[in-house]
Amino acid sequence: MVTAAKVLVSAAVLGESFAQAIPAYGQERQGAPVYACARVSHSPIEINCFVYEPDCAVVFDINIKELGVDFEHGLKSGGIIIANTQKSLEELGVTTPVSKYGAVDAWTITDKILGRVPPNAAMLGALARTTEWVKIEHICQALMESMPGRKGVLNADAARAAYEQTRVITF
Amino acid sequence: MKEYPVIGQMLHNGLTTCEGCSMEIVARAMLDILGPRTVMLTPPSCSAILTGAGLETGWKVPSFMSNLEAVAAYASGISEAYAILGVEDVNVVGFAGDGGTVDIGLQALSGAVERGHRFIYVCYDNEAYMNTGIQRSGATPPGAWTTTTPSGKIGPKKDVVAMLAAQGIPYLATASAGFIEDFQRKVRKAKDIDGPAYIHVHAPCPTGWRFAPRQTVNMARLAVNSGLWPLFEITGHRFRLTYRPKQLLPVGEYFRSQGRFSSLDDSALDLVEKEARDSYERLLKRHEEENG
Amino acid sequence: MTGHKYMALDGNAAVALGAALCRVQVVAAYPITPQTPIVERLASEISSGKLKARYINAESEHSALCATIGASLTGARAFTATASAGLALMHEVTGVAAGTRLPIVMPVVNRALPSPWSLWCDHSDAMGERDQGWIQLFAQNAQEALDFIIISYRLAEDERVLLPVMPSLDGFFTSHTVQGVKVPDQELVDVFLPPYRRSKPYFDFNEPAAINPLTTPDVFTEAKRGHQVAMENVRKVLPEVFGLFAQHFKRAYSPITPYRIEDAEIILVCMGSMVGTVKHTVDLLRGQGLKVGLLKITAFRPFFKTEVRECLKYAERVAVIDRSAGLGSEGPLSLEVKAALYPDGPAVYSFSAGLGGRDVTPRTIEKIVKYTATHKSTQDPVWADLKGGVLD
Repeated sequence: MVTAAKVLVSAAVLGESFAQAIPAYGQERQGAPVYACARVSHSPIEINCFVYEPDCAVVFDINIKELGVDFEHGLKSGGIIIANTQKSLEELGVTTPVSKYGAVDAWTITDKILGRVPPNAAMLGALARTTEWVKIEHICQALMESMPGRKGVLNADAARAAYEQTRVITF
Repeated sequence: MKEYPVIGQMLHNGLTTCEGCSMEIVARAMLDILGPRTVMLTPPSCSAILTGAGLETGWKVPSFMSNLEAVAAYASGISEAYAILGVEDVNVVGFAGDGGTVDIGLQALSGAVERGHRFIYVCYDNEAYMNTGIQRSGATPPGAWTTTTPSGKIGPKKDVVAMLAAQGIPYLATASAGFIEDFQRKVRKAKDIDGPAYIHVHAPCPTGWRFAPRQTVNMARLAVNSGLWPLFEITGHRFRLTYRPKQLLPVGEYFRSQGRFSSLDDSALDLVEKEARDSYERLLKRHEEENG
Repeated sequence: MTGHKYMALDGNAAVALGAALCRVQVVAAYPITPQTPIVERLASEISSGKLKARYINAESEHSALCATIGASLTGARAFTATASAGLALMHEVTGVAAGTRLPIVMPVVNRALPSPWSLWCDHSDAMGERDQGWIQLFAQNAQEALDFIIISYRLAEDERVLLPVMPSLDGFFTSHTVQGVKVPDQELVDVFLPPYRRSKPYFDFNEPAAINPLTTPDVFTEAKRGHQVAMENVRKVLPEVFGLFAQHFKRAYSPITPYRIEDAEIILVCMGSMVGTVKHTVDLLRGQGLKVGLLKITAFRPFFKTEVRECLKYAERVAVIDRSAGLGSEGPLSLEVKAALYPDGPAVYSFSAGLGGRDVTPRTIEKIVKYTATHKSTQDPVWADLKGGVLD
């Protein structure tokens, strides 16, 4: 998750945009819910604090809802939700009015191409497709730069596959 | 008649050390071997008297007054910097007392030895914090009076030589202010070691030990000849006694000619003598095993 | 040729790249969160042979700085980095580095000092060193963190200065925040920062001298005065170095930087990573018609008193936000600002915020502005983000 936020910044930088990813650093437990935030902009970013009212929420695992995590918390009305699921917004129980919804089965894509690893690359592909804030080419390049060799290429493949398979609904 | 070399040309005359100071003898003897391409590090201690006060200094080589616990840490940086600058002929030397070595300076010394920098560390052991006025250190021997052990120290003298041996330091030696030629041979060896070298010098202090200043060298020789301070070196892992008294003297003369051991009665001295004998026997055995 | 490469880096990586670009020759360090990635990266650059330097894995921060001092005494360009308790452990020898006038650069990744234990950002560590005679710069972001390393060596090695520099970057908010950073080309840095050469070496075998000896009362005051004069010289040399840096690298810095203060009724004063958030909030509040401005402090030591006074004297009220509490008094930055404005400046309101990593948000800053606007004066420092505090 934190890695995904860093790759997002790298992709934005490749596109000569401005971006920042502030990790919430602490003592982490494997499998516990993780939160990371990032900002992407065409102009320099001055603000340097965590994101409390995101324009977009990316849900890597919809099961966090059962753990009591409200992924809509703070999401701006008219914002964007991207989720690792094939369920509809209604099925997810989303109540915030959104402008766009991107749905992708990132587990299946990741499993097929990368094996049992977090769906970072696939969710970045879905993010590029749904928001259009960063180019998929830059996501792929950033993934390959952060992971040299075959691992990077496969991650880029996963991102591209997710980019193509993401179902985007505009409201 | 045997001719003795003139020593001490690398320090100025007129230093303000105490009358009969063995640390000064050791410093002069050491620099005669090391020569002018030497950087001296002294902590705030008796040796800082050589580094000087105000606008005066005793050394005829560059020197730096380190913090008490940090002689070996400063030496690490100087040594590595000279290495990267391509300067290969400078001796980086820490010259500290027992307090700055076995107590507060032990961590920095152990760290620097473990990292393996090329430097020489000479500890002059006068068995207490003498510069601040005779307070107990880890190297104070059992029974010794100091201003902070008014009825005699309880517990043993910390054996930092054994600690460094356990670390596998490339060159390790004991020496004595009463055996200057032996000490100088050891300094010469230390100078050529490509790594850390440590020499622990027994350095009697007339002021703190309560004996007449003219007895300094005698006192040092008594300690060695009574088996209380054996002279040896460990090169790599090879142990060698560098001086073997023909016959060990009783320890009584050493203890009774100092004012600091009045808490020890004769039965205590008997015990000390037995321990010294046993310990010396073990070293002798090891010497014979390792040197045929 | 652009003269740089635009890269996604966090502040720690930016600092490490900055040090490597300065061709540091000795790095002596001890790991401590959140500084560790700086020295890890340098260790890797040295180990791979990309950076020709020696790396000393010191057994404590105290020894790390001593080794750095030792290295600098030989004339090598020396570097270390630390944070929090590590800096506190070094305290005894930060005075030695400064008093012996060594051009060491030691970034501090700001982290709260215990107790209680915290991994997270505030400025209490750096503030503990404010009177030790180091130059202290506070970086706002990763770009500044990188640039300030290069600037620091140039400044420190200037013979009018010869003082160590402690560039501070906020733990996590700068050290671990990944952002776009322009990494200058090596050739450009080489021109800006030539190899370090002292006109007179410390260890001179032809003219040996004792360095840092016991100094008697008849000399001590004059030695200290020399140190203070060097500090005063920084007021002239630092703007010069910033100017030269701008010529070479097209990025302009200043010891203090005003933002929208011309007609400001309330001016906020702060330093470190919160500067960006305050700037953002100033724009928001200006949009609502509030006449608010910002004075960013980059150089905390020396403190640019006259310049600070010039920027603040026409404001009606000044709100200083410290990222340390100044227990028993008030935040150190607030005290500096009050001293600069004495005796006839505007009213100064003292706030502390962001202790132990608490996020300083636009909401907190808005509350500070509102409090300042609506209160006649404040005697006590206000803990702006205290739960149950006056602004909660």
